[in-house]
Amino acid sequence: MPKPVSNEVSSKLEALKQKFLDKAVVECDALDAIAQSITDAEACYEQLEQAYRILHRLAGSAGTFGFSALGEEARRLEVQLKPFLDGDSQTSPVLPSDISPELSQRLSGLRGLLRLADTAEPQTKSNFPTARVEQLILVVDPDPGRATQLTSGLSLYGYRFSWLPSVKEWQQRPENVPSALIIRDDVFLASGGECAELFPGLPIICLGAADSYPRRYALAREGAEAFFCDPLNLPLLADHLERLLTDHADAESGRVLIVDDDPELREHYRLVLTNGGLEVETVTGDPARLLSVLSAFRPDIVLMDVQMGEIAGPALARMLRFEPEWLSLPIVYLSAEQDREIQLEALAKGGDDFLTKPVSDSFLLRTAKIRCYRAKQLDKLVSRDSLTGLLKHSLVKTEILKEHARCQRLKHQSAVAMLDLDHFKQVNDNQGHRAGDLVIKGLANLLRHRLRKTDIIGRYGGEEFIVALPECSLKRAVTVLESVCEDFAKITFEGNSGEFHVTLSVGLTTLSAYASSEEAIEAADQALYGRKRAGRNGVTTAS
Amino acid sequence: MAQPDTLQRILLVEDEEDIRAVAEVALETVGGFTLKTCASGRDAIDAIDEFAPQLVILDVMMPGMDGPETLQAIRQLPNHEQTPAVFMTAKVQSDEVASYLAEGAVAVIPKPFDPMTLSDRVREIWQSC
Repeated sequence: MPKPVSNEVSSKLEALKQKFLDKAVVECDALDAIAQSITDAEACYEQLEQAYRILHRLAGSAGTFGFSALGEEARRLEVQLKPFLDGDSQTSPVLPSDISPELSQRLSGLRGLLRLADTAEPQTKSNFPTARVEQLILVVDPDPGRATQLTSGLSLYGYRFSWLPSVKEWQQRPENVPSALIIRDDVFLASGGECAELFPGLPIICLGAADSYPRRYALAREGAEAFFCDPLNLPLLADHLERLLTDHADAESGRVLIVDDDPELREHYRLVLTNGGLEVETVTGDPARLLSVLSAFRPDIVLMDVQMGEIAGPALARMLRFEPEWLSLPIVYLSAEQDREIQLEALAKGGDDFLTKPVSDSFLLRTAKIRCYRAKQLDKLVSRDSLTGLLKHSLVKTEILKEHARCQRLKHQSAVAMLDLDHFKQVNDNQGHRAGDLVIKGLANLLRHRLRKTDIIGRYGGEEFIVALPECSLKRAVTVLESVCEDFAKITFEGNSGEFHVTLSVGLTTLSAYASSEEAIEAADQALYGRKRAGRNGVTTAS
Repeated sequence: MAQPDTLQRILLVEDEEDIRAVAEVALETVGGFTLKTCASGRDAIDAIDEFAPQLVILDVMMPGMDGPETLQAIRQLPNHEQTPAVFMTAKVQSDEVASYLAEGAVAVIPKPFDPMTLSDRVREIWQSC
């Protein structure tokens, strides 16, 4: 568990990191020079010894200062270089020709890894706690330069990366469980199914230099979920990655409410589902308790016993449906009832499916997961914008209304902002609508990553977005959104007329300072116009 | 054998200046220990009597006297035959760990270490020895 880092500690560490970086740059330059001598067949024993010393130092320290990728690669190279130094003494001749060109290429490549710092900006840029756990993406590419280019482009979206030159170097540790694998297609095909063994269930994205259907088929057969061809369209890749990850997360998570009067069964189901990664709440059949638990827990599905003493499950289900809010909540009965007629009767009264007891643990878990997944997909169709997956206009307004009410009740400060892409019409006209859609998705994905899970993000109109940041001062909100603007401007898109960048204007205000949420949104909108007049690309707060 | 005292005084022997600096933050600011750092085995042997550490942490690979040699020399000194010692190293193959333990260390801390959790690890080691 990460501890809260005091400012003193983090500023000290930051200063040390900077010092390390300064020194490491010099060392990587030295390694580069040595690699050049190796290539020119001029390397002497002293130089190799120097390279070894530098590698050893980096291997032992880079990770401490937040450059794990650099440290791990240095360690691998250290091991490879060792045999050349293990001769009897300094008199034993070193044959630089024995050193593979790949090794010297990797020595030069270390420099690029300096740009690959661990986790997005260790909380120095903004002190905004991201509740979202950053997902680790494993990149396998023999060419460190190319890998660095990829990861620095994608890191704008808030992912964390770990880089390896080949799959063989992989070592699983509890702190580095990856969420997806991005791998060169030749490496993937040559690994002969090793990837599937090492990373069961992990989404795999292949990158390749050449595209053909036989190749795509071979990749699909080996279990790849996507293929992208050089030169890479990074926004497209980022969007695909995002979709794969949310989909996988949706399939593996969910909230289940168990309604059963038998305490032992309740506990058993809870254990089975919790171990499978689902969130579980349990309740007896007491009609008075059920609704309050529902409102507080907001499950994706309900598993309900059919007969709980005096209480009948179907009647309880029907009672739930009295509330429009729970009309579409899936209810699955658990019952020993085998009679199909009685089952259908119960379904007619407001249930969705039957699981016949005794039900095996693994079947229960799989059914619950699939049901949760479907429920979430359906919910998204209804409430989410199909292009971006963000909340739709009307729903986001309702959410902000609720947050405004919470502010009044709990006396905290929240911020609300309107966001608008600059000159978006020109993008659509000059670059095509496909590129325009990617820009909109790009901003949606960036917002999802950079804001907290509790923040409200919605697509307001064509190129207009709205966000609300609960329990967040205006000052903090400015910092967060300014960094969103900065990072968004750095993303390179590709369209009909080549590469382009898009900037973002933001109007911001304190939600709780207004009598109603509509007034706050209106004020944020005014601030947004102010920003547009003041030259766009940035954040303006309502006066 | 149980250590009745709480751990306060740690001596760190490490030739890398960066690592000494980050260990100071990790063990003093985060961990609350009293730390003395030495840049070489020679310095450590000169300083150990006056500082009287309860635990010594040694980098393995150092120019001049390396970690294992330094530990041997420390063991020759009166009053330090029993002072628990920990090696710190970037090489953590399990057979190597075994050989370091055979040389009289109570534990091996792999490098790179995380400055935020190093003190927890050190406390764990202290409690187990």
